[in-house]
Amino acid sequence: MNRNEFERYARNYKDTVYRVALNYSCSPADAEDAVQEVLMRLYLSKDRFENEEHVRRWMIRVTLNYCKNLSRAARRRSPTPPEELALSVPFEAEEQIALFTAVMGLPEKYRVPLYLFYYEEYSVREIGNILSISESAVTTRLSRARVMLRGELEEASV
Amino acid sequence: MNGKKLYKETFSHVRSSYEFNMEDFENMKTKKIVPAGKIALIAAVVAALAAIGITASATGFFGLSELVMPREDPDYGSVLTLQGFADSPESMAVGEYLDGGLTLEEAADKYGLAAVEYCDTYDYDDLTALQGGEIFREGHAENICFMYENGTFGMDGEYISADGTTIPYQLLRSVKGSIVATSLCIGDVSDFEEWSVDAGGVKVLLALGDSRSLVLADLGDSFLSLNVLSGRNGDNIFGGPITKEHLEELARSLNYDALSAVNIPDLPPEPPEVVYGAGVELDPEYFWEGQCFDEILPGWGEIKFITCRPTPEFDDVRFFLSYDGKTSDYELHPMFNDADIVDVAAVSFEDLTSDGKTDILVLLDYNNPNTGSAFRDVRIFRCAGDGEFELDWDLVSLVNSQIPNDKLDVRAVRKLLASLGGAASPQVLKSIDVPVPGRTLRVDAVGKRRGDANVWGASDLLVYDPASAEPDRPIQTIKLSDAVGADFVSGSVGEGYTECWAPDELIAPIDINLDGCCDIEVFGWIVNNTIPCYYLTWDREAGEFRYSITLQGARVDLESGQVIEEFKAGDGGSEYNRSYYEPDDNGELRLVDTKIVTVGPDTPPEDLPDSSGAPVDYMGILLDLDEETPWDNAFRQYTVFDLDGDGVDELLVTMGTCEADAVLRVYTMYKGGLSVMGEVSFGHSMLYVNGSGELIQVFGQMGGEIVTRLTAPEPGGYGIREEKLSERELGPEDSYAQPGRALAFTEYWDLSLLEVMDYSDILDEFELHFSDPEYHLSYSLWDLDMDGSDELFVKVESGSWLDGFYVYTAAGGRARPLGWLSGRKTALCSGADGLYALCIDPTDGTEILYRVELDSAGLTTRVVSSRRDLAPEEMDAMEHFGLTNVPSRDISDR
Repeated sequence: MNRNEFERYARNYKDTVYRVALNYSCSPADAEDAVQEVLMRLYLSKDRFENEEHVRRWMIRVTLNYCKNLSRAARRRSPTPPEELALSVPFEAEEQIALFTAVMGLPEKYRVPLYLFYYEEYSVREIGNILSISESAVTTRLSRARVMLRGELEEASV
Repeated sequence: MNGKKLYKETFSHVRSSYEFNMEDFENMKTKKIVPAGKIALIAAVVAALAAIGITASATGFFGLSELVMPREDPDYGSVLTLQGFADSPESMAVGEYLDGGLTLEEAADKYGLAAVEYCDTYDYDDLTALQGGEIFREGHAENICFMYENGTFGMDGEYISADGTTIPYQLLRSVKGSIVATSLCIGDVSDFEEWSVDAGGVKVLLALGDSRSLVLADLGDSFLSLNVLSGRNGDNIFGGPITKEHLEELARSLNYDALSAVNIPDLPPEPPEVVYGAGVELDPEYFWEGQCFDEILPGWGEIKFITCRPTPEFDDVRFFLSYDGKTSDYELHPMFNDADIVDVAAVSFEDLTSDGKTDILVLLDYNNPNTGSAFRDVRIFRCAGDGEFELDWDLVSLVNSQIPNDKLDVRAVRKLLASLGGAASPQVLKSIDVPVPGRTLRVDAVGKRRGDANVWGASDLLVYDPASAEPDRPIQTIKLSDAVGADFVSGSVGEGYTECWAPDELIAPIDINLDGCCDIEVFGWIVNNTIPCYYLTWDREAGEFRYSITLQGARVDLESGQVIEEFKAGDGGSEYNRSYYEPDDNGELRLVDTKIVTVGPDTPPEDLPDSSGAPVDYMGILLDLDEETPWDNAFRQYTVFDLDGDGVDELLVTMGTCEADAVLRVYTMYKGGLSVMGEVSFGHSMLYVNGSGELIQVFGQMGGEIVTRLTAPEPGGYGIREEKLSERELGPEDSYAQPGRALAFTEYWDLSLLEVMDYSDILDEFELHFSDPEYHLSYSLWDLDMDGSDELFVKVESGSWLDGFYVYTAAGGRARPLGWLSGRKTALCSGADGLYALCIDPTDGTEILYRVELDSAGLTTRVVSSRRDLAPEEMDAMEHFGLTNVPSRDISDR
């Protein structure tokens, strides 16, 4: 990976890393740390990447591993409540705020597959590979997440 | 806007604030620097305690067999001392130490070795200076090492080979004449392939194992070992695999000249041993200005509260109580936060737990040395009485989880803890009466609300005899963490408290050992499974309660005289562990049998698990079944129907692998828990609801028909009642019975029968479950029942048997399934009289036209035209019947 490639990947995917980490940790500070850490690891990586999609997937995996390690650290930052998180993002519509707050209020094991499915548009099979869980586990989590989200959004709209 | 679009739009606004700058990376160093004075535990193989000098000799070729200790570790095989040959004084001394017969000092003494007790971290540049050159040539991470005062050093390292393979290792360069309290178990020596190489004039022994390898060299005055954390197989933690060539490359990447040099390092003075608690000499130089107070504290009276800055021996703040300000009388629980203390933001003395006693709240600001980011730490020292202040981890955890770090201040903490009322303080939360021979005792559970608002726990049980001369004096105090001791399976009682959702759940009376005498059941901890409880039984001889056993999901079966324990186990909870206990002559429960029940289609009804006691809902059943049942299994559908007439639908699930073993299993909610009501054979069957609201099963195969009424058993009972209503052989003109409205079944994953979903939700579900590129999804809308509201036809195409139309109708904004139409190479089309499905297969010239209808029985199709072996130009059913295509849209188009 040459300098130009690294720069392109860093600029293209730093937000991806941030979003994955934020979905995992609910902590903007930890998510920002993850961005720097993952970019550094990409820079130092000697892995040979087949294509840009390979890089994207590698970065997501490294982000998740980093977040897992961080969550086991004795001194991790406490998660920010969803309502507070929403205040820090320049949403353009009420429904975006409502959805974001509802999503970030879900347990972590639902947020990450949801993000990978809806935003990164990975298939269930691909998400299973990334998260090292079965496809059916992915669909189960996505189904449950959607049911929970429906409930949250309906309550919010009452 | 559909959910996916909204999600993407929403999260597109979530962005990192990090400003990427290429120069930051180009200027980045890989060295990790730890501030001097911090002692970091790095290598698992190193724990230097003592080393005394004597010269050992080692020349010439050597192999692992000359290095392994005479005595093997019984569990882990051969042992290397990493400090010389097996017959060297160093190895013999370490061997005796490892045998447990001598302390390290005694072992060193015996063999004329000196003691080294102190080490500190050492920067790589300093190491380079000490050794007269870099110990690595290239390809290595330049990590800090730990250095002992005699020049022995070690480090965790990583080498990147020429082909990009990362090889992690632990390096130890031990000075001869010294011993380190370490050894390395390597398993079976014969698993290693050994050979030696000449690296810069040094003979280096290489040994390649399955998951670890070794690089060993005798350097004259010292001995070098690299415990390489990879081998010919590799693993998913340390990577690999590595080859012989990798090891040789690693061996040649070391600078043996530099490694061989034995010099005494210039280490900072050894920090004095830390004294904790009372009797600590207090140096006013370290008093934190503005954070020392004269206070009146419970159990102490007037006393000085002293905040001490970090000292050479303890790199964090400490809090003392002292009467004279010179020596401590008490120390609040010291904590070492692996960050740099910046400020003591606040110290507050107030009743935080609403128990009338003054507690101590401290807020500390730290800086993370690795990331440079600041954070605030909270410590809550709760007054526990008798002058004790306990660091309340539950409250700390609660504060950290409820108050954002940047909003953490005294007021926020005060407000949060006040909202708990007195619940955060230990108090009697539940009392029960426990009849024992000759009297009835009262047992109080003392506990508190834990960190989470919905979690409570008991720490102690107080046992009273109300009829005694001193009814308010406990006859027994049971500290649960002590009582349960080391025998508990898991749970938080080791932290002092049990865990449950409400005070009422803390304890309950039960005769667990069937001796006619009441015992105490203590809710153990919260799990997503049946509840684990600690059982304290009444000891008639001793006249007190004592801990007996921990059981999960236990119930007493009076009929059998057994206690049955049941909990979900196995991968994904697909198994149930059911254990049977019987009391022995001493009243102790002994395990007599264990069954592992895998719940599946073939599970006999009597083996099906009873109500779990934990909240389980129908959706959970379906999603579990969806996860467990292969997608190509024909029987993975469900429907709902209130079979027992209690106003709550039962869940009726088809299971099985073929018509021969197909069953319909009925789940019901009973007393707040899910249980299996029963099951019936369900091959070649359909369900109808007749005019009287009864559930009717119609079995039809090869012209034979059996019509059966299905009814529920008694409440809590098991076994669907089957009452045969009719049986006949159909004549050529006969049709199978349709005794009412057909119950529509749908796939496990389609939750529309359980949840309120509209068409958009349905389409979301399809997108989710058929997300792989092999599936093509589209949908059409058509008012099939002509009620003015369109039905939804979702078409799945993949070239498999799943191809077809899933049909839904909606009433009151709620979608429900109507059925499924087989749809390989089939399109919907409409005519003047309704909806059709046209199947055209040019490969074999097949053209079949179906009329799609909805009647009282449900969704049906009727063949209108069927022709085969047609040439393409002959396939004109559309034109012949005057049909037009029903428009369809890609599923993403909505």
